[in-house]
Amino acid sequence: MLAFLLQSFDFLQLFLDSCDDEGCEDTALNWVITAVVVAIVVSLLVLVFKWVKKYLAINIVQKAWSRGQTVVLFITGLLPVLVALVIIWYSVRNFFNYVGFGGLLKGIVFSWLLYVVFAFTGHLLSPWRREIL
Amino acid sequence: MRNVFIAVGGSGTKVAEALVRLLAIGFPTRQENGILTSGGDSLQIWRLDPDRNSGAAVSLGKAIKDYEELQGLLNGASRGAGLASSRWAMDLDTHVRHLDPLQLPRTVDSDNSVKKLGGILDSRYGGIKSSLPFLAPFYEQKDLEVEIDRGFYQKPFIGAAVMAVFAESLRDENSPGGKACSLTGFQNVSTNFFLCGSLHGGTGASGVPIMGKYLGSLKRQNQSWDWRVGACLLTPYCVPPQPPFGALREGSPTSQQIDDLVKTHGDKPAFAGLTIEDKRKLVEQILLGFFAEPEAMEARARQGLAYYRDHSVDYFDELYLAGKPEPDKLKVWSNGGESQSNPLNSAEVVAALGALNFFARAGTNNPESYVIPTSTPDLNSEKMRLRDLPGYVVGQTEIDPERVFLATAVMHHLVTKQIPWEIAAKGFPKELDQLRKVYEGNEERKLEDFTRLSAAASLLAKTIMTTLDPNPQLTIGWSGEDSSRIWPYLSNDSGSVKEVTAKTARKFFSKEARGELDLGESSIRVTTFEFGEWCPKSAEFTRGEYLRLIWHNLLTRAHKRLRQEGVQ
Repeated sequence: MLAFLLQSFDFLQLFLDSCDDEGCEDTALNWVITAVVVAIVVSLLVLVFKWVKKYLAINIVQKAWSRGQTVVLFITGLLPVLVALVIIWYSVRNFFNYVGFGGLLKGIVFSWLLYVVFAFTGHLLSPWRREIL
Repeated sequence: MRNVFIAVGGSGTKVAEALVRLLAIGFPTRQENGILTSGGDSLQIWRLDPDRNSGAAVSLGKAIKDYEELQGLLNGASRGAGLASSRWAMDLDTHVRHLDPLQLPRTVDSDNSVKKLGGILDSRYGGIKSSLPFLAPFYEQKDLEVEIDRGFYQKPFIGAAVMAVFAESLRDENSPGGKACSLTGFQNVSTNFFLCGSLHGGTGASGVPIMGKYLGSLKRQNQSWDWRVGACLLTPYCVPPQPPFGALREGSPTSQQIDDLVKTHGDKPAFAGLTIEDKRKLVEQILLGFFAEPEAMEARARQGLAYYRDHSVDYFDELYLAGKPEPDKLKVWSNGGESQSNPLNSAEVVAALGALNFFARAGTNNPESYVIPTSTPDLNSEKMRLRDLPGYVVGQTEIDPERVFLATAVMHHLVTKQIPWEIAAKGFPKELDQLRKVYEGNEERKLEDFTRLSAAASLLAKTIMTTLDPNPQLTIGWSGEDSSRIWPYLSNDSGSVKEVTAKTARKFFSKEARGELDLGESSIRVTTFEFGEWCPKSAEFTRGEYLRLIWHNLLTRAHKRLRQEGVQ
């Protein structure tokens, strides 16, 4: 269903500044996939970071994470999402030409939303759910 | 088990203060479900002293107030009036029974209104006839005329007579002393009576054997009551300075002599707060020789011991002796009352440990003998360390005072600094699983426990430091090394917290702590992860029970530190 939605042209068009040439839908799809992959990778990195911090904690106070600390970690994770997408957008000619600046911003926001959902879900599925609920 | 500590005179009262402090710090007297504790036992303090408002009594009152506050902070909802109770330490009846040996039954109101030896010995209650004619061969007129409401001036020949009259009056439940003791309440109740006083003083030297004899004879007559009577006798462990001027060699002082001395010495600390009339009385008292004579203390202690050997020892189940090879020298001369406020002496702490040994029913191994433990030959009694204190036994466990202090101090640090109190309980890590279950959905209880445990920890820190700090206003006889070593565990200073936290940290890829928490020759190795798992099984525990479990686990982990070469 989600894959279907992602592939629908109307949805993909949201991420394009201009679609004058043939094949722009493919570029849009690639851009969306990039945003999804970046969101998944960063959220995994954030979860792994937290796990390592907890695993290597030398005392209980270090091991205990407050909700505030977790939220700060989530917010911090937004930055690598942004940086990764900007770098990818800038380094891929099609993204730069067709996705444009507007598509970049929309892609970042979309990736951020996915990242937050993944990170939050990761917590919900782990024993850490008590730290955020 | 019911315990009664009978503090006789100023020294006994100071030992009572030391005992209350040690109990607050966590010294155990029993084992309950394998946990070393004093909780569940009870303690009453009786104070036998004509000097109602002595500085020692004021200090004892403060120690009891702190103990009551501590127990209040650590207990649950139930709290008996006048009973300082929690599962942390022994229940203490906060009302000190003041047994005033000068409060005797009166036939008429004018009897003994002025507390003089002659008046007391001539008390005519219950059909007793005047005894004045019989006193003349034994006492000089000046002895009979001296006011004795501030003690017996280290003269047992005064104290013994007064105490004998008082002990006799205890047989009558309606006498002032009989009412205060209320011994009928102790019939058929297992009770440890422990008396403590000096061998060389006036009140202690006369009060301990006479009260011991009285209780011992009651016990003999009623063997089913399961009473035990013990005592600690303090040999001269501190000496007061000489009074501002000496006594007359003979005769009575003239009015002119008294006026001259009041003029010369009336502004000195010993006379502070006195009216001109009281100053004249004090000058006269000193001139007549009614004051503690430091040179005679040793001889009096020797005579006292001989008296015990010949007349008293059979009435006691156990006798302890505490003292110092070289008595500490007090700086301020006092005639008693509130101005006689001596710092807590390390010898008094030793005597209090004797009381704990007795309350723990440890015994001295041989019922036919009494043991006089001696200190190590290299002991510097002016600068004692915790490792110099005698140990005692509870059940099968030897209690080393140094380890007790260390366990309490480490407990202070762990409970206040190593639990993430500021985060929601549901976010506690799995090592705090038990606490999480208790507090999850009950943040109010968590907050209340944190607030009260922090306040209790502060009181514990204060008690530890004021018991060991070598500040001459507070204590006498400690080296100061232990107080400076123990301070980081009690401190909120970030540097100290960091230092201790680093030692309780877990090694990478290991369950072992990185460092040892040490004090003197004792040390504890514990990580906060191990500590986090210590929690009573039932959710309905008091803060006192929680602390006691933590403390017990720390004590069982305490061990003798291996000395490295060149490092003490």
